[in-house]
Amino acid sequence: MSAPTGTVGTPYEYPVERGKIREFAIAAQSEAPEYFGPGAVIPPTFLTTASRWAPDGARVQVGFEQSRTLHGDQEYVFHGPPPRAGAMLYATERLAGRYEKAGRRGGTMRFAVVVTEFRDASGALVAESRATLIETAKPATAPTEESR
Amino acid sequence: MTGTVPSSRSAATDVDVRPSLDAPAVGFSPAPRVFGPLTRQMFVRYAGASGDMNPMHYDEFVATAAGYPSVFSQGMHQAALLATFATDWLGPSNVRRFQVRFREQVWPGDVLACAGVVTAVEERPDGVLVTVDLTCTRQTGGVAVSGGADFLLPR
Repeated sequence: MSAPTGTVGTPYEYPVERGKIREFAIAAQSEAPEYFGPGAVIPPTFLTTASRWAPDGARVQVGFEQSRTLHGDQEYVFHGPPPRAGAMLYATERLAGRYEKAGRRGGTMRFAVVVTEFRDASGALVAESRATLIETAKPATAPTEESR
Repeated sequence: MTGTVPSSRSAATDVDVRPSLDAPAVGFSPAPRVFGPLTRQMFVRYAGASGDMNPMHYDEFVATAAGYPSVFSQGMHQAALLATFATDWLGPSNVRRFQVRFREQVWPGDVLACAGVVTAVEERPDGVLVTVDLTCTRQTGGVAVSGGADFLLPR
């Protein structure tokens, strides 16, 4: 089952937690004080933790075969300073696009772009995540970044 | 935490890693930061921090059964290390865009060098928008992750 372009997942709450920021910054081997205070700011790739808050139905199903799926590209855009500890964000996934390319060794590579919008309580767009997933033409020899 | 930070860090920190209010010029490149040799413990720590519990990154049995020589690092782990390099340089609160493309797998024992170069500087009403290219390179010379970022530096 492959969702069509434009499919939107169920919105969900995503609390930005100080302890999680600290844990993430340590895993990222950062000592920047901005990540460790009471008003800690999130590291640039921290929003990857949001999906752990996603309930059933919140994630868009791209329908790719897992053993052939790669995480090809990832982008985060912040429409202002990045969120800080204590913020409550509201996340919504959207299947933003699909396209195909010919594989280097024949066959067809399929691409899906999944955008997650992060809004505050007023509805203002705070940040966006844009993940490009690739289904290779043959079984992947490189890692599956995330199970989708 | 300090046990995981390479000694090259302190030298780089004093020179040019902290954000400067002077906008860097196009072509400027700070000292790269070296991470590693990477350990399985680092992969586990990232798995827990991110919530990506794919066992391919910490369970040797699962990884070898799938045909890999060993566990390997999460692509998003390399992305997080590259982001650390970028925000140590230009400031965690200043980031406005961060993008990565995953290119090569990273293995236990790998040593990664994260580097960047300024590609554009634009005056804006609210600050100076600095665009940088970023790369995370393995000890083999292979590029594990490449990408770019925008930082809005306050005046």
